[in-house]
Amino acid sequence: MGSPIVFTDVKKSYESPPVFVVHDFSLSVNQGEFFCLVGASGCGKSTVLKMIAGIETPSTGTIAKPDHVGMVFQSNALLPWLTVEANVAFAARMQKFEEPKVKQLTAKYLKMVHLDAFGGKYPRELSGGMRQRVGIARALAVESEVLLMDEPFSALDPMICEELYADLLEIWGLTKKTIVMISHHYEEAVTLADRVGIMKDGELKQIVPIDLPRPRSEDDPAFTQQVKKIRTCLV
Amino acid sequence: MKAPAKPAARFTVRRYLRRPHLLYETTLAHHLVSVAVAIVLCVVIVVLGVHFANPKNIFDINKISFRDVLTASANTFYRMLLAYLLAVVAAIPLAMVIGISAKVQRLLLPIADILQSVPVLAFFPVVVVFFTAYHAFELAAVFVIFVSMLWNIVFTVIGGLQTIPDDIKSAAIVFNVTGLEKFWYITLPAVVPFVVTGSLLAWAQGWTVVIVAEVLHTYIPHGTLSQDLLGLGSLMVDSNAGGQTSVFVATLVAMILLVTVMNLAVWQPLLRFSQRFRFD
Repeated sequence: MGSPIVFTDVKKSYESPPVFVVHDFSLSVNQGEFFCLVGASGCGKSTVLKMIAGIETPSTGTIAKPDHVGMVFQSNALLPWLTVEANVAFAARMQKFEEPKVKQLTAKYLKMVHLDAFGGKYPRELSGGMRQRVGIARALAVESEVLLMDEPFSALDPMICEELYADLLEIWGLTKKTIVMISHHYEEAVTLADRVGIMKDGELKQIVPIDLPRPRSEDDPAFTQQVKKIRTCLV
Repeated sequence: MKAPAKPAARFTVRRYLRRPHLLYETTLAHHLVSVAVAIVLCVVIVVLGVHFANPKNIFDINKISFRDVLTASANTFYRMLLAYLLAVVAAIPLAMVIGISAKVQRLLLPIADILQSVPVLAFFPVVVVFFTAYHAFELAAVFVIFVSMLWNIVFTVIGGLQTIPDDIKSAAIVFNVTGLEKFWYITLPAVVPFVVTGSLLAWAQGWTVVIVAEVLHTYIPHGTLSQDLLGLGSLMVDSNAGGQTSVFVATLVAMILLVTVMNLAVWQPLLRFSQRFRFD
């Protein structure tokens, strides 16, 4: 199995003289894998995601990654003046796809996130969970093999999160995308990921494989054990 | 083996009329509206041109009719509108240049700040002397109103640029939205609420300045009333100076009505419309 994302000895500093917010970072994410990075605020996990997205460049080291990726943002980052359909189509059009393909992708991914009946609505007319679904559809419409997710569920209430976890796993199963998600909820990471990378002070401390069958339940003692393992690593 | 190139679609009028754009597909209605807007613009430009080439001045404040007050209202509105359109066209690119990055902003913002703090009426006599040398009385007034409006829009739009969320900027990079596409589809819509707010402030400032800007004779050595531009501002000042209370009151009422109609018919709907461009 190939690795669409490979970090080799990456360091990142925003300052001169350098103060590294990410250092000695090496990681290989497998094709079709659901990888989750967890860590406290300011540990550098967002910087890692931004480097994969091409928003930031590493100070030293190399990153092998696809030229373009889809990304879901914590704030959903939808354009409020565009309808749901136009938001999704916008991302596809920016990839210079032919118009029939833009329409086909928009319809396909809106259906996949169960929002095909809401194409004419504006983001402000939707709930937080629905907006995040639009964000997912938009990221998928780019047709990249990699989907990045920047704490996509952190602003949502737990009940909505449960629903979205199930939907996201279904989408992942259908699209076979490689997903890299960042989160500061250990339970979320264990619910969703194949492997969880634990970051602390800009370093990747440990990678914990989650070998539990899906769907995963928080009531499962093995689930609790995995969460405890991650928590111990971070303390 | 390389796939054979797809033949280019044959040009037809029907295909041209319904060609896809970034956010919509053009229909016949779009083209009809464009033609109508173009015709209206041409008419406005011709009317303004004729009006500016032959400005109707005040010759005798004692012979002002109700029709003159109406003409004065239309004249003042024309001047304000022209100054405003010029201010918008100048202010948005200027604000974009100043607000494009923190570094540029650090350099240019203090300069803009100094320029905007120079009172517009302080250099009005110089402006009048310059324009009257070319018999461009109307342009003197429009220029001063333009300058008084400009900075309101510039600074409000600069403030608006700073409210674009970081996630939106990141999304633009991730989704490959750069250059002009970024300007048209993200930056410009994002500042719409601020252009509207800035415009409101600009017009408020314009109404204040127009009262002085039309009274050119006070800035011209040995000036006479005939050098004033017929408008609500000049009527107000000249009728007050000439003791024509009824003309003064009629002019004041006309100005209040014009401001009220503008507020109800233009600014309130625009403010409501601009809400859809706001980030939560």
